[in-house]
Amino acid sequence: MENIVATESLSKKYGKKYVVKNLNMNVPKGSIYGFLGPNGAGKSTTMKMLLGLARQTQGDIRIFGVPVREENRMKILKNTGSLIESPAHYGHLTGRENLEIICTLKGVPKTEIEPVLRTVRMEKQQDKKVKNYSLGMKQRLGLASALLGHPRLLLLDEPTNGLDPAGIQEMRELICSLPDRFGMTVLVSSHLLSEIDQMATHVGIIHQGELLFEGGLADLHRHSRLRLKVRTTDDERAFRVLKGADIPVRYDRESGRLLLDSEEDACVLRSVRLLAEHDIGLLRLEELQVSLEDIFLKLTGKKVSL
Amino acid sequence: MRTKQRLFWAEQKKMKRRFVWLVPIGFAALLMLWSMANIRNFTDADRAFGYAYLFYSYCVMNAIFMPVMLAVVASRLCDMEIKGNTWKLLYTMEKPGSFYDIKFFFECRYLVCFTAAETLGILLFGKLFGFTEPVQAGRFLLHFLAITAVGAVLLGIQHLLSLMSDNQIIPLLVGIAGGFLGLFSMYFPRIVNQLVIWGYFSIFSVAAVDWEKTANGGMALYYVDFPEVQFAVFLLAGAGLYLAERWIYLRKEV
Repeated sequence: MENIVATESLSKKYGKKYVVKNLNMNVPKGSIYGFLGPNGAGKSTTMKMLLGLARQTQGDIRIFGVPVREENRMKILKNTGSLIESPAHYGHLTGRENLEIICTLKGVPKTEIEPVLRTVRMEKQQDKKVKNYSLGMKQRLGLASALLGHPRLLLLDEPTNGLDPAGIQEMRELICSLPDRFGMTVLVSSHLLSEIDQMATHVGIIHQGELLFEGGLADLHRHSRLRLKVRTTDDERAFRVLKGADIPVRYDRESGRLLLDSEEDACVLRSVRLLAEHDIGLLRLEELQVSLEDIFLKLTGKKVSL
Repeated sequence: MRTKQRLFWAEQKKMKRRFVWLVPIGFAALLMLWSMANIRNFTDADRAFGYAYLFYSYCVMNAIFMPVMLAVVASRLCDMEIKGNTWKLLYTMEKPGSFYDIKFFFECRYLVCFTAAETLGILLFGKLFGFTEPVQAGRFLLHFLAITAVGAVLLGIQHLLSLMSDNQIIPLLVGIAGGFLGLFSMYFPRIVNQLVIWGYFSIFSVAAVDWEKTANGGMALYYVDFPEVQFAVFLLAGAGLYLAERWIYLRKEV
């Protein structure tokens, strides 16, 4: 699959500290790539480097298959739209006047303003001064600015930050509709797993500047398979018996958890029989779903808050 | 539309409802009212060197007021970018260096209008109040060029400070402090005067006061030979300073 964005060993160092380290990111064409990580993981810095707003310490960036250099940066960025951190605006001007400035700078006809205002549902507020907008309206105006000129790539950094639940839902629906309606590729960052889970087709998980996981959302979901927690009269002996019979089982001595890494009926039946044959009493058999959150916490370390 | 044209029109659109023209108009009106209060009482003897008087008094008033005016102008134009957090969006559409230059160009428009109004104001007062001193077009031109050049160098400093400061009170305080420093430096020996950039209005003034004769009663004014070489060096140093300021600004990541 063609990658719209690809980075190789991308790194950014502030002083002696790496904020982004050896990042190899691949954003497939037409995807909604969820860039997930806790606050301070390096998401915004990565996005700024992609846009040329921050200089990388080392590594290469390719956008639309073209290596990004200072000489061709503006040409490449003509086909991108972005909303990085808080939305940019001129408070003394109306929403429409703000978009007119973007049109002038992008060299886009003003006739594009109406459709993007419709897309973000801002037609009625377009003549109001932006300083009187709510945060949600400013975010939508920011998205409208990014959509001007029909960019092939859209970079959205935490676009739902500060929005109320209804605003989050609306923004999410809007983002999800972009690849189908306009054929765009969307790179969206968030620190909220549930948000990415509802929007993205592909996921990249970053923590302390390093990419811990990259793949389709379906791949990530595959990790969240069902497991069985087994409680017996003698868990240690039960582990040895089941392991000896080649049953996929794990025993965590610290927590005292005996886990059966299979949900197949045949495997469960065989395990129960084996335990009975060895006079080990089965006390409890409990279904344990490993959620995406568990996977995320496992990848990023348990001390990291979401 | 070419890139430079696009940047120009975008900047022009940003100026809507900012009322920046009121700043140079207000300061120019203040200067003219001040000088008018003095000219009203001119005797025939005073009218014989009326232009020289205005060239000199405006150079003193420029030292006080122009740094403040430039600080306000730069702040009005740069503050909207800081308040609106627009850098990250703008730099995906225009080069930071182009942004820096076009903003400075727009600020210079207000400076040039102010200096032109001041120079034409001197001529206008001469006609209105019947100055008997002959009009020397060269002196007017030199006055205009000198105050515009010194103003542009000061504006460069204010421009950088306004773009780098989240709080616009800092550049404003620098402007006010610079004005006072420039005024005081005028009354120190020339070598000290030359060390203070805000004091260059007097160094390139086309008229000066003979303090010895003035002490004996009445204000003795005379025209000085314009220091062309020093002015050329000042222009070069000013251009160098602008490039250095630009370099400092471009190092800043958004």
